[in-house]
Amino acid sequence: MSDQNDLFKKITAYEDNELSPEDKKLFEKNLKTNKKLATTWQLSREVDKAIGNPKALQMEALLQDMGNEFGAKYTATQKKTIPSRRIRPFYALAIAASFALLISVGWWQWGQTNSPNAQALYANAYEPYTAASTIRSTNTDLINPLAEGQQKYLAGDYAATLTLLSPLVNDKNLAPEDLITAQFYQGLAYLATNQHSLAETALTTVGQETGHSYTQQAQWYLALIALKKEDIVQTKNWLQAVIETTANGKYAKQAGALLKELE
Amino acid sequence: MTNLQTPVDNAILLTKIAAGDPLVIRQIYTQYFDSIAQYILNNKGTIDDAKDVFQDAMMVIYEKTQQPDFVLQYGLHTFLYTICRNVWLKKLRKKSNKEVSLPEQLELISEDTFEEEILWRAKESLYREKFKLLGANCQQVLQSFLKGMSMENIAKQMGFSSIGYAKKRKYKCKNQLLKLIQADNKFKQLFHA
Repeated sequence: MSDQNDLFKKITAYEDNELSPEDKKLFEKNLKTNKKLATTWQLSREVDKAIGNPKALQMEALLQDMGNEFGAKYTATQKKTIPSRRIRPFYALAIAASFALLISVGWWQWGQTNSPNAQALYANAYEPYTAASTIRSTNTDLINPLAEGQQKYLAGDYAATLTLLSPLVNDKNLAPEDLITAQFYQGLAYLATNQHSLAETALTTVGQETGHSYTQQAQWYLALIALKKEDIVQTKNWLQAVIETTANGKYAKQAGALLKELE
Repeated sequence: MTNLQTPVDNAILLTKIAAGDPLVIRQIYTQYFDSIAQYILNNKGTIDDAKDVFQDAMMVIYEKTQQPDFVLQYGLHTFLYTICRNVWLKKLRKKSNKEVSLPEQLELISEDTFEEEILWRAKESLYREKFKLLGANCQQVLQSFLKGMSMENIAKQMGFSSIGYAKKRKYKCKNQLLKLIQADNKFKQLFHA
């Protein structure tokens, strides 16, 4: 590794024009003969090209958002496809009898809880959070677990997200802005792995923040958690909160539509 | 709405892609994403693979459109499909470490088409992935330097105590980025491809 550091020091000195004319000539000669120096030089140039193009970075972020949106839609479309099957007469009778039983139980339950088909509504409404293209962090350290945790979530690696973010959520020295971000993504990762109570705990703090950029999203997912638990009253409360936070936009629209379904 | 299928409109289409026009990008996704996703899923891929492949192909196309002499000789669908297929083939070969072939559904340009561009795209993706792991200050220092800002102005902008400190910071940030890249398994595969 120190070999690598030496090579990079030479490259930096050359880039910053800090070499004497003789050393500069020697460096350029070594580029042709020293394979390690040439490889590190090539890597350094390529990295500069990759990160130094703001329009390309913007395009990449746009494509990532678009890919997340269309990937989620595609997955949702596949889930809705129900294969048709031929049912044998005996089984048809058994199924009919089961339906009759279910309807009577369901009718009784309707009187008790008045809950619409909450699980089906949940399955239809839930999608992993995909909208972020900007990784948020106030961390100025060279390695950034908060940024990495967000990336892991967006890549669908929920276990890694939780591994990275759980220590941060308990860090008393964490900047308040970063704590909200960590709790938000931790909550989303718990939700994606069906740990609904833990998701609710993590997201409630975010959902109760006033004016934070994640507040509305957190409220939406809290509504879905309540729906999953078939607590329709709480679901409606959270959906109202989504609409009151910002009346326009994707989440308000979704909340409005789900409220109509519930009523 | 831009016509995605008429060759005559290719020049307009390329101009809009080069400009990163979000409406045209959305139109391309709407028209082609599902069929390409299905192709990837039918060939041992996941929806995440499909997203990555489509994104890589779009970035290859975007970077081609930055070349002033680039002309789209085929329909966009053929072009996009070919690049997606070739990108996916390379990824499958890396995963399985053995010879893999994919079915062709269209009369295609050769398998090696855009090989250089696809390799560059894979490297670029790795470098940017690791760049995002740097702290916000590091990212800003490096990007300001690459925009051509002087070290004096970088020091002022970042609130550093001296130009010397700014240079040190830039060195550390870039060195850390290179180490992150070199520590990734993908680096060895790409750099010696």
